[in-house]
Amino acid sequence: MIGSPDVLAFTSEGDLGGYPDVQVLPEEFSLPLLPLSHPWTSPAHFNRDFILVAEFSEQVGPLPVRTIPDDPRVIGSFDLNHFSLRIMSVDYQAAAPGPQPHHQTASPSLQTLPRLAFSEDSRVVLGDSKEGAFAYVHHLTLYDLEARGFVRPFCMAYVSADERKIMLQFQELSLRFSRASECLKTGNRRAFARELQRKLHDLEYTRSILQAALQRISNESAEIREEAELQKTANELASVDRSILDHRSLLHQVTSYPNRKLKDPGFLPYDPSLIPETLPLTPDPPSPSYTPQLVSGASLGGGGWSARRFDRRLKPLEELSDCYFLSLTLEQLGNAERRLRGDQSVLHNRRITHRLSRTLSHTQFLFQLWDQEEEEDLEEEGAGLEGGSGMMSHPVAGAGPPSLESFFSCVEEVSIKLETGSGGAEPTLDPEGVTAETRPGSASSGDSIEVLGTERSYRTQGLTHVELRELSGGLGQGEGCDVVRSCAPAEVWMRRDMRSLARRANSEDSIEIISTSDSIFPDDLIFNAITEEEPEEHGIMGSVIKEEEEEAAGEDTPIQQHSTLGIVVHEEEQTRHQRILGNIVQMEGKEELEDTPTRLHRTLGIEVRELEEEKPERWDTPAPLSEPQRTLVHQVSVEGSSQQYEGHHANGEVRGQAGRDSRRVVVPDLQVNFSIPLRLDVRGRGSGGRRLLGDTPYRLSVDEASDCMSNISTSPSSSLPPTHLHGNHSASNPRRHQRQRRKAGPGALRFLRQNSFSQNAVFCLLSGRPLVVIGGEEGSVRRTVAALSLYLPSPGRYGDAVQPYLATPLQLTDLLTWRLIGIHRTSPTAPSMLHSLARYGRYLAVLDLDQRTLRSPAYHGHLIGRLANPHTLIGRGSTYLLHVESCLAELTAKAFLFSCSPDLSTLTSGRAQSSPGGQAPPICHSHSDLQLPSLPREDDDFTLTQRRRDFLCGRGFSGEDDLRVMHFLSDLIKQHHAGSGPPALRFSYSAVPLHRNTTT
Amino acid sequence: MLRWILGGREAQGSVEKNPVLFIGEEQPKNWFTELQVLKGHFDIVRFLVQIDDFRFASAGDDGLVLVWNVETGERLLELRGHSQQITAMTAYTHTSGENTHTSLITASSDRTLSLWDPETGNRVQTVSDLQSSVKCLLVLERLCVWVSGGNELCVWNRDFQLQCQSQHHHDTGISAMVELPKNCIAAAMDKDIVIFRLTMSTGSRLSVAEVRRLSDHQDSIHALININDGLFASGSHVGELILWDAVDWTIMAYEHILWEESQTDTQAEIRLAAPKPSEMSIQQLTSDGELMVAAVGSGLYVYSVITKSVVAYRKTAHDSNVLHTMLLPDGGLMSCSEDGSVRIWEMQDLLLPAEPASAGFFGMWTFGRSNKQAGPPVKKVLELPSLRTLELTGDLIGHSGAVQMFVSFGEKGLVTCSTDHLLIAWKNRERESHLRSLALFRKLEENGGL
Repeated sequence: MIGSPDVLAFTSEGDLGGYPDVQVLPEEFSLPLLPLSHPWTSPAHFNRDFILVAEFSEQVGPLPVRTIPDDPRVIGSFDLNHFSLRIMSVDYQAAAPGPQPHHQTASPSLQTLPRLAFSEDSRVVLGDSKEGAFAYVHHLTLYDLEARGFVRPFCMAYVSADERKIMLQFQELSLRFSRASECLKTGNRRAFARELQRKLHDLEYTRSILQAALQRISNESAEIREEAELQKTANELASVDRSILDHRSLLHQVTSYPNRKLKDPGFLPYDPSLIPETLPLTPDPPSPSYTPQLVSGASLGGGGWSARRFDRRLKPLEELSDCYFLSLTLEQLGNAERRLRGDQSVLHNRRITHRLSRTLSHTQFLFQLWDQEEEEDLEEEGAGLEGGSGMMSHPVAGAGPPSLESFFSCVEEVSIKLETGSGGAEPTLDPEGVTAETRPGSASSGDSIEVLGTERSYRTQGLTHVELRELSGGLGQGEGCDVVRSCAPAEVWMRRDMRSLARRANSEDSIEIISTSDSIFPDDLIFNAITEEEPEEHGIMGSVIKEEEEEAAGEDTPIQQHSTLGIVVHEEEQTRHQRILGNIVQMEGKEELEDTPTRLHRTLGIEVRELEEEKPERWDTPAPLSEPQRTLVHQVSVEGSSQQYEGHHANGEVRGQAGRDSRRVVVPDLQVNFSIPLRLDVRGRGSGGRRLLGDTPYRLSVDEASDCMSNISTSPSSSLPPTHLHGNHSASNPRRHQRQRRKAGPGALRFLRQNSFSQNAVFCLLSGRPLVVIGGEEGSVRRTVAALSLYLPSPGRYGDAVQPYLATPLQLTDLLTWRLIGIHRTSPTAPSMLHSLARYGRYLAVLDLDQRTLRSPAYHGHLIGRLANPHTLIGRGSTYLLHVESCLAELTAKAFLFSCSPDLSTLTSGRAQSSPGGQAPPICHSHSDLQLPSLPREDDDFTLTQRRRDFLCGRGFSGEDDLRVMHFLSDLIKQHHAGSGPPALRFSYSAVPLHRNTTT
Repeated sequence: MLRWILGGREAQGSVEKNPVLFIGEEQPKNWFTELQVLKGHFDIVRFLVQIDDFRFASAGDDGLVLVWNVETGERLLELRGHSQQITAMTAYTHTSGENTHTSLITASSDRTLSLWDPETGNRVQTVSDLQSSVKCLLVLERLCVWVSGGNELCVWNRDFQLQCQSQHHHDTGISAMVELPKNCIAAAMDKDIVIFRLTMSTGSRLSVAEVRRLSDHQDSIHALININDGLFASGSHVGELILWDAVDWTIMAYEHILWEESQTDTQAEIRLAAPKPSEMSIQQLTSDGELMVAAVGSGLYVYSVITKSVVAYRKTAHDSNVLHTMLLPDGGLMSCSEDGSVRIWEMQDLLLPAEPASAGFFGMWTFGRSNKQAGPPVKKVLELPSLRTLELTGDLIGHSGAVQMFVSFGEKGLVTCSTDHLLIAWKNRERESHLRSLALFRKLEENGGL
């Protein structure tokens, strides 16, 4: 009921009436009134986003089952139990099963039999602003014969400190989690069927025993036994019979589960060929070694709904699901975690790169600016994500428009009693106006039923956000079993123009439901993802650095960041308020928006009116209407705590850095002072010691700084235990490549800074002249080679064109294979090596690390100046890496243009042509059959050449050397696409002066 | 006798004294700016034969014959069949109607001869169990026969049927053969040149007979070439270069090349003992009908057939023996050597024509055509304006072993073969780039996209 501070994130000035013309300002350009807090920190206690699998145990309530990654450093001091409680106390009963009396009357024989409900998963985004944790929660139920109602509620939650990230990645999260869930449930059905069969065997065995006993008793009863004995046995037998019937029914149900999802090959979460047994759900016959057990009377009641015994051990996840499917599920979750690692900017960058790169695949080989494997991965996923229609037809039905049909089809075998909602919409006019759906209370959780009302509302054009205040408690505070769900009209969904922010309050809970599953459109997500420009970095930095360092150095021990610092205060009563943001949907087009309100009124009726009633109040008072004092109080307290966490987190970082600085050899002139304002006003419970720590500035070397930046990107950290079982080896190579690339960034920057001739070296690489790095120290040779490999065009998919350590004397064929070669001066073959270097000197550039000289042609041009500017102001290796990548991408585009434009590609680089007389080279333009049609023949060569040169000059080329680079790149492109035969070494006969390093 | 005493001139003295000729990295006139390494052989590659304007075959000590496409550098075929090293290879073109079909004839140390179809790679014909291994092959297209020279000379027809053969010669065998007018063949056998004549007897049966033996060389003959219809030339191990009349086999000119060691010793001093014979050995001769190039030791010697005078020379053209030379159409020449390099030369007029080349450096004794044995040698001082210099304009460095041979495809490039088992195709980068562009555009056109 009370707005939390988080509301600010979605509030622009327009809401507060600050600027009258804000209405014309697109929301993307409006800034929040107040800065959130420091953008690099978050109050979250965990260091990185993770996936939490939790269960609502019928014995102890919500409890965490496992986390992915399963690393205490990731989780930090985050209270998993507490968070499990929160995420499990939401909506998972929305599709929960119950006895189904309603439409089963057609088969009266089954009426009394237990029914399995194949419930659809539910997805919800919720947040806990106090903890700074937000989560996409995917609820699902697994079957367990021994559980109440045969169901065990589980959920898989993607926990992040950044709610925007979750919102933006909702689609992907939903898709990936649905796959994982489907996988898990398939495995669970197998396990359940197996369990049922076993139980049936037991029961049949028991029945045979009982029948024998009954026979015996009936034989004997005439003489001795009493009637009671006979009656008891007969009752028992009847009970067993009944139980057998029940179990058979269950088995039938579970084995006849409609596998429509699995028939969709696009969705199939696993490879059917990998599964040893026939699928999907033929239960295994009990193994011969299995001996049936006598079933005692107590458990005869059918397990599920017999009396509960709380001392019973609940089956762990491993027993609930087939182990193959469980591992598959975990692998998928791990993949999801890996793919979503990093903050919004990283994901955003990756997505944009991916989108752009798809059209640039012709030149990808040149600099490999993105990961091919990832590309393929994305490609596969793109079908699901970007094609909106594909998404709708996908089983992630919750994300699609909830049509009546889909409602029926997705909750199979669950009879849904439809009632018209409180809005009173006419069902005939508006079939989607099923605003409320009342379901029988779920058997599994009758004691803790949540009441959730989702209210969709709309913003009018003038408002960037309309915060809707829910009818106070009318919908939200109900204690009954009914799940009230209001659905938006179908047309509106289809139009996708809705931009609304619905609030839903539940005063008794401290959970924010930011979104329900059906409130995000794929297109909106994409739109958001593109317009979302602001890079945000989270507090994961510290841990990330730490990880990286450990990987790099291999000797570090994990830095205990939080164990000593984290004093987490959980005060549930503090955050009584919550807000529910129904839909934060970006508007896409004005014209769509314009006709929104009218339809709104028609379809939403009462609710819209309420919205309008509330609006003035909103404008008047920034504070929410109901319980204003509480809101204020909570804002303060939450803020305080978040600040405190901030400080705490900053401490973690500082400690990490300090520890590392002492360990590492830092090149002095590469240190950068970071002016990150670490001085945090630690209010409330902040301790003085922390503040002191936070005040100290820290220094980072370029390497470290870049690592902490770049690490957020794709690659999984190898220090974490591998969570996927079926990791393929081939995927590791490009990842390693990316990793090397990240490390090459700072190395390249250092090379630029330390060597005055760096541009010449880069020129050699870019113009195809093989560069030999020779040095006495192997490590530095390797490092330099790795750094320079950044500039190497067409390095091959696995860096085939780089030879970091050449042990044999250089041969001509080596120059055709490798274009960047490292040679160890003190190797035993060094003398012959030097001889061969001298022999092939004309084809080579030789970089001597010991004498700090470079023998190469001198570069005169502009192209490389930007790429490799020794006086660049870029201080971080990763920033430089991005810079290089963008420059190289630009260069690639130019080269592509160059090679595909006939006029340009015939432009000779000049030297050969300019030589007068003598042995005139057989230049091709003397042949008319080679003449390109686009070349105007009346032009003489000179003007033609001049024109082309002018054209190029306008694009940043300034001379022969730039042209040479273009020629080489263009040759590579041509060779790649239309070439045949062995590779060619292109060279030029130019002077190779010796450049000495003048940088001290 | 007529001798050349060649010595260094002042203008070239500095270069000549420097045993290692170094041109430097800037070679603006060298248009070979791209290379491809053609791998496939496992041993020394000795022979290159051009098949047509884009294909060539290579053969060597591994017994393999590989057919290549010079434009792309692709290996088209691998002709396997010989168990030992190839000793001779030639292209055999015969025209049936309008079709011209080129085959390859190879000879090997395993005493077999094979005919290959370079289109299919089939071994069309083969002859084995020869009496001796064949060292040279000669195709007489006019007669539709071909001749193999080993210890005896055999004449074969197109279908690999032995037509006739000469009697067994001494062990050195035939090292080179040229075709002469009137169905004659000149064959070099050690120090002698033997003239054979093919005669068509009745029943279209061919017979071969030795008609003349020319024994004017003092040492074994390494090189024997045709210059034009009326002349052929031979060169011997000790630097004797003789021009012969192709019809009546008389000596047109006799030159003995001596690299003069001492410049002070100017006049007519015949210092036979001074240089080692290998320094004067004529390994190879080539001619375009007007000029003749002799690879003499590690030097080059250009001789004008028309004026019968030296045109240009360079004593130390390479660091080691020159193995193959070629005259370029634009007046330059190219040479390859055991030192692993190919060098491109340009014949330039003397920059200082006024500077007298001291007469002593070039001595020439001319014999009358008929009085080879008699008559005093008349010494002539060469016309100075006709003497030009050989300037190095470029070198190709790539092979790590001796460059055995090269074959030029004009503007398409040059292919070299070497003892390092490699072939290198040298091309013009500009042209190749242009061709690649065309290929790209063609592909774009065909596929409608990449």
